[in-house]
Amino acid sequence: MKEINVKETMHEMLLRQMGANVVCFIGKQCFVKFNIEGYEISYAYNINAKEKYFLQRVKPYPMIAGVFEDLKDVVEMIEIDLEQFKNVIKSGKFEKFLELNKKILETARNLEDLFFYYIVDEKMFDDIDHCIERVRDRIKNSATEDKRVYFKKDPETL
Amino acid sequence: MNTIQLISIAVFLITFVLIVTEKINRTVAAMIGAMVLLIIRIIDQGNATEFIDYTTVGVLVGMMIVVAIIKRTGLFQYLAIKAAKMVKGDPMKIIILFGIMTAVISAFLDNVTTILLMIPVTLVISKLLKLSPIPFIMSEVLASNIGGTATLIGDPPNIMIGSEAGLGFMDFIINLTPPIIVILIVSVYIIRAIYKKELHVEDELKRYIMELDEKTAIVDRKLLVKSLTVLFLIILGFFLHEHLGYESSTVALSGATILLLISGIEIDEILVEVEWPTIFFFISLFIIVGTLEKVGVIEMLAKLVIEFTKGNLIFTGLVILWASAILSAFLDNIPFVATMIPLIKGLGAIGGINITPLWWALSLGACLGGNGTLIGASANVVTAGIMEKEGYKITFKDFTKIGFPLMIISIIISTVYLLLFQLR
Repeated sequence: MKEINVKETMHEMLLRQMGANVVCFIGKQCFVKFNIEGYEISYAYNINAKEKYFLQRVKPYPMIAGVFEDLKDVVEMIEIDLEQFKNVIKSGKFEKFLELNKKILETARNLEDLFFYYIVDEKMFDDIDHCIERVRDRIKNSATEDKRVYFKKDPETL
Repeated sequence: MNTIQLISIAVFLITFVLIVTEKINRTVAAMIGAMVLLIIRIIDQGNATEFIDYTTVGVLVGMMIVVAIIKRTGLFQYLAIKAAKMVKGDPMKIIILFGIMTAVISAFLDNVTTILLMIPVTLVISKLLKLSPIPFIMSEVLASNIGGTATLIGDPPNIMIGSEAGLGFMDFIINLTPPIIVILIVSVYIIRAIYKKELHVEDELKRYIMELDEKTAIVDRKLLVKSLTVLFLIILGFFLHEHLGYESSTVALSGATILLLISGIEIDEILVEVEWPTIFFFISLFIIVGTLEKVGVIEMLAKLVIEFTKGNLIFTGLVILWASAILSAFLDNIPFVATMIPLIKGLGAIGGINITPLWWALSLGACLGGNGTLIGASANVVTAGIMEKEGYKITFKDFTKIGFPLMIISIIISTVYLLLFQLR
């Protein structure tokens, strides 16, 4: 505990000197792990008295699952997420889906590196935007009501 | 010696060995000792409650609450940055200033707390100066043990001595602060001389320190004003507590209560920062030592000491000073002082000598002795642990090479002071 406090104070000081507004609160960090047919599905979230719970999926691929005001919403979110993973695993297309997802995440990193480390001209912007829009349209067009398999919760982005 | 006395001594010695060897946590060791005495009915619940010194416990808890709130304001970081900028980022001056600052804070707060407040800012500043933090940290940890000796509330042994001997805050200020100021100044200058070669930096790096903004360190201005007001009242209360007829614990706990009320911080968040293991360690030790006193072991020891010293005040005082210092360099000074208090009281009762100078000898020896080795004081152990995690190892040998000679110098100064002003 003492070591944690020292580290926290030190980092807080450095961040404040950089101009940040730092708020630290006492809480507990929880790691949740499931094993579904050999695949690890895991989550991380925090519990604190300020009633803000940050849920993040860690595996099979990292994704912020949201900020919740009630702990039961966190459990519900994990429950739904897990059910959906089970369905995808059962479908036999999980490996392909993972591959695709990995590529998308890597592409996002590539894009960031491109803009952070290189000079990018306007045309390049438009080209990439055009390609991404095509992929998004393809995804949206495939999400038709007759092919829907999960109904407990509506999709958030489609 | 009867069976009850033998069993009590055995429980005490086994507990002491467990604490010293650190085979199990020191608080758990002390709790085992106290519980064994209760379970085998050497004492009963009523006795155990009587033995607990509530003044010591109250001062510790009260000040821990106050510190837990004040540290949220960023005050100590502000002071450290301000001090570093005041000397224009010169490490040769920072080492002196941080040492003195640590000692002054430590005179009013617990040594471990003080060092935990100083380490983060010291690490940041030494990083900016591209210097090893070890010279600064050594200066601070040694100064924290020295500064803690200066007042009634600076170090737990003093709180215990004050409470049991009926000595007030002003008694400590009058009798201990003057020699401590001399010891502190001598020590920080010696430390600087030792690390002189490691404290040179380019002017370019000093500029980074000047670029730090101390104002950003203040996190909550309103809380700072409230905290400083209450802290001022607490210190005023300590100065006046005897005059007003209040225990020092009443002052500390009243201040803590007011601050809890006006700070608006959730009580759970503050109470979790109270070092409960330390509190339970004290409670258990009071029960163990109280038992030794009740069954007559302490009286027997006092008689032996009187026989050895022939009731000579100067000899007794110097033996207490040097023995406390050497033993405290290797042992936890809290159980040692807890044992010595009834013994000194016994010397007064049996030998009829003026024991007041002996309290000062015990305080100087037990508190300053902690600087002798890495395991001599909690602040040293905590510092070494944190520094190791930060990638800077302070070994027992490294610490002793600097700490032990400094401790001997401080005890020589204490000897001169006691001979000139107390043991007459």
